[in-house]
Amino acid sequence: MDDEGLVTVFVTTGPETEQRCATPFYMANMAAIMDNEAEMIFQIDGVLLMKKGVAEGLTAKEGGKKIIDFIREAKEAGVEMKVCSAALQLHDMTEDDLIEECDGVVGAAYMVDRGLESKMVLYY
Amino acid sequence: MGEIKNCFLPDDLSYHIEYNVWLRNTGDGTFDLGMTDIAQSMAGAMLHCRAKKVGKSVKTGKSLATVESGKWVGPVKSPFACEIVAVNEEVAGDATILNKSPYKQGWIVKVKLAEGADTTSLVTGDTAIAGFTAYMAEHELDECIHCEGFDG
Repeated sequence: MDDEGLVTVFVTTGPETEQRCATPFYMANMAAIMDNEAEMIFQIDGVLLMKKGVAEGLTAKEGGKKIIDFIREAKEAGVEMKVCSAALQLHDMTEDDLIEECDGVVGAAYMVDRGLESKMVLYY
Repeated sequence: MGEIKNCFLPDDLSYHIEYNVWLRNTGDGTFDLGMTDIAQSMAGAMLHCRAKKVGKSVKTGKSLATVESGKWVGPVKSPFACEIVAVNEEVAGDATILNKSPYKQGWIVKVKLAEGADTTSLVTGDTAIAGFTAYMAEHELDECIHCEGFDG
């Protein structure tokens, strides 16, 4: 999966800006399909997209594909999804609140390291 | 011409069932490679097709190109280790060629086998028909859909 390089997608916005929620998963999915190592890191309100029961009720466009389906397609392509520990605290969440597609909780140093290691970094 | 439920599979081609691609041995040590009629039907109307660059070495199972349709995005995988020696720029400019002419104008890349490449996963004839029959059943594809101008 990582023949080409690392692509890291930072997601800082969440359900309050519904129209922004699909593209980060689509781009990470595409990066993985193109044989890159693709990782998404959810910060600030982005962490809410990894909360159980949230993505099932979200669409970027009225009547469009649900965000949970974008998440599952990205997972199937091999995208790693991690959440910021501080963002969990910000929203009074614990690891038990996270959907099964989430690969774990990381700290700030990890995020900086991954950004530095990346061939491409996207921010949403 | 082989056919399964309105899906055409020309007899002169080799196929990789799981990756849903065809290959044409050009006789000069290279293969043209494209998506099958089954693959274009599953994807629906194509929007974009972006191949990797000429000169790129690609391992078995890795992506030669990426295809986007209105309902699907995915890789065109290589059945064997190879090098891309040509890219079909017509398809890059108009991905609907993959829907209209999957076996003629719709070749995506021309590839050269890598040294020691294993081509045993390719199938032809009745083996291909049997393989794709099972593939279509597994993916619950009833029949192939052909757009206006489809040239078989």
